[in-house]
Amino acid sequence: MGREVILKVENVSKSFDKHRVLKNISFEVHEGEILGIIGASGSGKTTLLKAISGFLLPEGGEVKFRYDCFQDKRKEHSIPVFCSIYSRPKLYRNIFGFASQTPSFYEKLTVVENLRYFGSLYKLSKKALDSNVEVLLALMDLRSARKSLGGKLSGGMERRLDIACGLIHDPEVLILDEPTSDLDPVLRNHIWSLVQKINRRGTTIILASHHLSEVEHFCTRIAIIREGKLVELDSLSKLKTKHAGSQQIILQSYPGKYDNIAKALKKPGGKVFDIKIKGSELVLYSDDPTTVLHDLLHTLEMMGEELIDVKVTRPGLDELFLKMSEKEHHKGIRDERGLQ
Amino acid sequence: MKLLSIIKKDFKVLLRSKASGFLVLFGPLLIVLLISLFFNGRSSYDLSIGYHAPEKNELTASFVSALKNTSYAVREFPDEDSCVEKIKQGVIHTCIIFPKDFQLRNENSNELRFLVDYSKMNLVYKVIDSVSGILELESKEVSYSLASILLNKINSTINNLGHEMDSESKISSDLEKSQGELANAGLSLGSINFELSIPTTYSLSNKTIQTNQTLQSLYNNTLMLIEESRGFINMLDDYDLNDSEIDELNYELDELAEMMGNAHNASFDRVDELFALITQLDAGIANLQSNLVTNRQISEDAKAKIASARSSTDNARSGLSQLKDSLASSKSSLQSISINSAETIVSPVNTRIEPIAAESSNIMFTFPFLLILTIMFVALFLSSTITVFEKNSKAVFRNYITPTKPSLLVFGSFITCLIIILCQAIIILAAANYLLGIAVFANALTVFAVALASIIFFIALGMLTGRLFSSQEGAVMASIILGCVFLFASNLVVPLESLAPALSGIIKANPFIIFSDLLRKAILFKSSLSGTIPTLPILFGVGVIILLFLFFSRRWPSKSMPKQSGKKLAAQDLLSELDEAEKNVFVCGEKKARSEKELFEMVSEMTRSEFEDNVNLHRNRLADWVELSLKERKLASRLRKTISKKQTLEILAEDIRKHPPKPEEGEDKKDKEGEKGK
Repeated sequence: MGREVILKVENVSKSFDKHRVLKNISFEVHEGEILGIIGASGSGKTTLLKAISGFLLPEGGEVKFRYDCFQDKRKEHSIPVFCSIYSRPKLYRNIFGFASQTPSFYEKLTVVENLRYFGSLYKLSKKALDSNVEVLLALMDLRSARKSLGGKLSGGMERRLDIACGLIHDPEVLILDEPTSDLDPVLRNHIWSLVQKINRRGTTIILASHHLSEVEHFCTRIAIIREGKLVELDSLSKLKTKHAGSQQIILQSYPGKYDNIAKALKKPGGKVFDIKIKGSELVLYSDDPTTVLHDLLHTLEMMGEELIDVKVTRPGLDELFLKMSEKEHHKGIRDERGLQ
Repeated sequence: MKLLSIIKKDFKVLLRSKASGFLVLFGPLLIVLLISLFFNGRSSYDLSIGYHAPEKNELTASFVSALKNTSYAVREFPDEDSCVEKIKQGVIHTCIIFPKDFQLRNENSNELRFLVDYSKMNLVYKVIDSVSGILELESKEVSYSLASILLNKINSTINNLGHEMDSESKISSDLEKSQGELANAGLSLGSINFELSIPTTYSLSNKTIQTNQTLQSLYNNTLMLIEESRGFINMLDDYDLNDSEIDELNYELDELAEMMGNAHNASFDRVDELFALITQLDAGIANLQSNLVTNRQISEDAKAKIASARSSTDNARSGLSQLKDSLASSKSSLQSISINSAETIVSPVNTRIEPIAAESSNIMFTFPFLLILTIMFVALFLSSTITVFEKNSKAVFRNYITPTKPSLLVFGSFITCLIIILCQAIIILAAANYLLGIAVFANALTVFAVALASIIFFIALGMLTGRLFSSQEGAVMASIILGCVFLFASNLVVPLESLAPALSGIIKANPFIIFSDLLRKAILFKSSLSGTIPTLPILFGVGVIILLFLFFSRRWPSKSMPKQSGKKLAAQDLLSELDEAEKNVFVCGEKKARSEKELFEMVSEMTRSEFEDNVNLHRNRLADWVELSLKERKLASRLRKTISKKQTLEILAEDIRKHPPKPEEGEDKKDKEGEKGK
């Protein structure tokens, strides 16, 4: 993709009380991208982000950042040099910003005071601090709440202030842990648009989320973690190509006797790989959607079903994730059987 | 400055809420003000005293009157039980029970009983002291009266002794005179002749017998003569004598004979009588002799008694002399009693309590304890609260991910607490000096040193408490317990002298006691700073050690990162990780610089955007490179102070002028670079 690698996660392992949360995870982060890390709850997303931020210490492995990248932004001719984040914590902390799942700021300080305080810890000059505070207040739409106490902000404002605190020193890389958790859809959209704005300013973003549909829309690349292992890391389109294979036909009809429709369409040696009933929708998976769609419409007519809606699409990230999870599950069972 | 920001933040967090801010800043001052008012008042107490007197008399009345003359409320109760009941109800503070027959007699013990409620520990001893003091005063007055009577008697006795001693002289002379008279009597008795020189009655008898015989013979002769006369008368017949004559003669003779016979008889009677008399005389003589013997014996006894009486008189005189001496001695002894004042006898030693430091009010003596107490509680609460707050704050993660040393945050919290408590202490000291009149600033250096050391010590202790406890409640409770332990294990509540020696020894190490004592000496006795050695430096050192432990024991997780391949990856060793060929190269576009001179040339050729990419408000890559690659910290520091290209060039040029580069090194490097490029 032509972008430089600025961060390397190499064989990072982390355990909590004999339970291995991260198992030899390795990946690279490119400059200017939004890397989404998805996984089920407890899969190790937050632990991975904390290991990247240096807040948690991995038992094994290393997290390295590209030192020369931050020495000369126009690094076309520089030789990539990666340093452990633990060897240069001061520089590393200046380069990275972090917004955790739980907002981290002083509730008894106002929005501006929080920004100024954390900015001062980065040794920003007064001029730079003033400038950054105003820019961030505007960017995060917090100008109206500049004098509000942190503890009196709404959920969305808290999240925005937290992100603003993470950006106060204008970091190269922003790490966001579940930036939209516990927020309503409107606020989630707001946050995501902010993330995009930040990214457009040139900040590389690494984020973890379990809102797969959102990640799907906003992330450049997606890393999928399952049980502490990195299962996949690629762009969504490549992941879909790699794992989804088939397209899906989503159908809504009345009276919606989907079981009968499914029975009629699912024939041995037929074009339909799989059929799932998801609430009021019937989802058909096939490599030949045109043929299947023709058969489907015919079947509906035969069964007296009134067509309400039908669309042909590639599977979304959630389907992909589920599919991959199932694959992993089956693989695990096979491995267990093989061992037996 | 980070530290300033941290302190500002702590202040804002603490004072954000008006109520908490007021409490933090003015709470201790308010406490001190209130306690000052309490302690600065009068020393007497508003007590209610009950009494029960089974019998009322003058003595009872005098005691009751003495009680009523005080400011205390005095109530009489008909019986002891009702009085006790009122103590239980808290209506009265003590009950005095007068004994029956409360009078001044030898056989009366006159014991007054105090009934008190010991559960009111803070008041009971004051009540006892106060009330018993009044009663003792009254008792002293009674004693004074008795002593006056006694002294009057003694004076009277001395006077009487003088008179008696005068009488003694007279008695003595009388005795002497009596003694002389006794001696004379003795002599007189000695001169009495008890010998009886009376002729014996034998010769008298013989004479009487002879007389009788003579008388007999005379009678006989007379008779014979009468007979012869008769014969002759008869013969005278013959001579013519008439008969009448003869007869008359005869008659005469007869009468004579009769007379003679009568005389003879009478003489015999007389002789018999004489004999009887002689017998009687004999008996009388014998009796007389016997009496004389007896009298002699009596005389002898009398003489002995006179001698004894004389001896007794001598003894009496001697005794009288001794009595005189004794009386004189007694008089002298009584006169030698120099204390002749009843007041002196009743109160031979008068105590007058003089404070060794100028007394103004109770607050002066309690002020050092009060100040340290305030410092202790405020420091413990504030520092533990700040520590736990910082530890449990949502912002802890963000603080961590900033390039800030954890010790700086701890130090910031410490400085915040120090400033607050120091300000409070100064305000309290100033108020004590100017409002309460306690000469605090007369020994300002020592007072300030003790106050500062105590503040540091208790802040350190509070922060340690905050570090040990994870919750705010736990830390507050621990602070309360710690403060109470220090408070109750001090002589402010119970005198240390009343405790077991071992326990007392341990409690004496209580920092609250030590600091209070040092401050007390500094304020009241103006002890010098050297007088606080070694206690104050030791406690100060302990406080500093705790603080150092707190500063350096709080580490971010990365500090304990396992070493990679046994090699420590310190920041300064960063370049050792880099390619040896590249570590000294500063790259900007196609330009590269390996030395300060090349950097100068590179910067001078940089476009504005190129320069701003490297040097801006956020970072100064030129300075970073100079520091890391060229190891020129001072130059890097100077470069960081500007974002101007012109000034950067001036700084570089000036440094190059001062330290001209060695031409060989630069050329060698260029050659090597050229070879590598090929």
